[in-house]
Amino acid sequence: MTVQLDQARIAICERSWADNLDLALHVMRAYGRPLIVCSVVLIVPLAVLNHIFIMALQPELMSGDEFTVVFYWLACLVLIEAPLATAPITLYLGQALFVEKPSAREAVSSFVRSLPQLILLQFIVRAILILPVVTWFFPFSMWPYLNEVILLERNPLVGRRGRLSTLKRNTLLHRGSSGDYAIRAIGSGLLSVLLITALYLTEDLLVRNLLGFEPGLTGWLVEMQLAFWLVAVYFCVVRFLGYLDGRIRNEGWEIELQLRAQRARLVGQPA
Amino acid sequence: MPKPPRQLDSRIEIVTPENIAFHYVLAGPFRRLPAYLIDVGIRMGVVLLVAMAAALAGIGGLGAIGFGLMLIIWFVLSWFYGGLFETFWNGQTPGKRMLGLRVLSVDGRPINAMQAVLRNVLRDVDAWPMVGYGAAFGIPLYMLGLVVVTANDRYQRLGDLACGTIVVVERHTRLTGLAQIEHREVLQLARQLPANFTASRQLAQTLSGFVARRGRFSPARRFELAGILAGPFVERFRLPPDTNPDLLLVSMYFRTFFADRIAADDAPDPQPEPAEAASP
Repeated sequence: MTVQLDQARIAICERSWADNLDLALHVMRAYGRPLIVCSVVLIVPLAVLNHIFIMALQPELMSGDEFTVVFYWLACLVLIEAPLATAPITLYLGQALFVEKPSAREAVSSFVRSLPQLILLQFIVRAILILPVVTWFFPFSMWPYLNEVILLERNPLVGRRGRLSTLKRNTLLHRGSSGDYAIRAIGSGLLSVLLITALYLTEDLLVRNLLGFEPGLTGWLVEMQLAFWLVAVYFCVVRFLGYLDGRIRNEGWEIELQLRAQRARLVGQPA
Repeated sequence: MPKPPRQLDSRIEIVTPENIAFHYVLAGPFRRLPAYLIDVGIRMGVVLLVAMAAALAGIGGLGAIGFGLMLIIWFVLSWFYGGLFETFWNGQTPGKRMLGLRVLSVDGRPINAMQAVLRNVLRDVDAWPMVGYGAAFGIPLYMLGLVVVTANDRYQRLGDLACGTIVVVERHTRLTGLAQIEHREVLQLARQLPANFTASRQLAQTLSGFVARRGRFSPARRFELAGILAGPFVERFRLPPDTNPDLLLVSMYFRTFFADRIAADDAPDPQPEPAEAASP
């Protein structure tokens, strides 16, 4: 596995949020097949669990005002599960940035090592903040790139031997930018709602007109979950690009990569 | 040696028929969205004004004419707003002008009237599916356009593909030139570097990148970054181990790009001219 630090597959440069939204489409196309595989690994089981959970709520909830209850639960479940479900995508993109053929074994090993932190910080803490609705904003505006910190930087939960802890590193990465992140979070929220609505309506139109059947409660949930998860995968790629951008702007990451590559050439060691 | 795959980026290079290369940043669907919404807002505003005028005319007994005029304006704006503006404003609508976007031909030339009108007429295909009341009054979801834009390298929707056009971001970048660093310590250290030191092209680029950005980092981060590359050079140049890595990289930059200035400083002072030649 040859790593060329200054020859990343995605051009390393400062980009605006709108540029990242656009570039994410290209990234999804370029890595289409692996991204589908990475998505299916965890999203499908979680989507099945969500389906069972929501079906366990009374089917009568699907009518009238109670529709919003189902929508609330689905949105909460996807928001809480998204970091865990999209972790394989983040790991894949992290490797694919520098190597042509990412190693599945390394990705699995990284995932297993990161799992305790993911469950604690990105599942339990996130669930506590998202479920009451009024505090859902915090994870998205205060530490939007926590998933990337956990999965790609792999700091210990508690700092030791001169290594920063995950939370300390997370604070350093996000310091001074929460205003920007808050605005992006609002923009992402609005865009997500637009995309989910457009995807759901398109799916529904195709199912009714092309396949010619009336989707019942199960069909409705499948269409809705498909729309939610497609948007979650897309925003996972956007978030990855945003993380790269954050490191470039705040830490001069592109300079660091150039310096490391230059050092590797000088001392004749792999970067 | 196999050619490395092309980097994923929104920047493209267009070589014009005159063999001049221009670099552009492509505008994808999400960069175009605010411009589109501004244009939709303007169109709706105009129709609303005409509707209000028609309502007022109705009070005076000209209601039917006013309503007919409103429908004509609605039709013209729906089909020709984009085409007309892009023809007469060199590839820009008011929304695009506000946000610094421009439509160009794929070979970098300005678009012509046919391209401007056709790409806007074909918008309704990209807008599929529509929900609500058909093509005229429905809400476009643009899912087909999004799929097509994702499927090609230049973020072209169907209208762009049919007309050979792209949408780019107009960026006015300033050339910054070389960083001027003339601290005494930098000059001193630059003089201590071996006389035969020359930076390779890659090293020169790296040093230039570091010096251009170092002012944006905290001293600790600057020190940390410079330390990555400074170590091997401290050994190679036989400098004291406690040499400041940041200063070392800056002095290497100085030696690379301003070597003539050091040479000029080191040159002995010119001899004063003799006041007058002695007469024989």
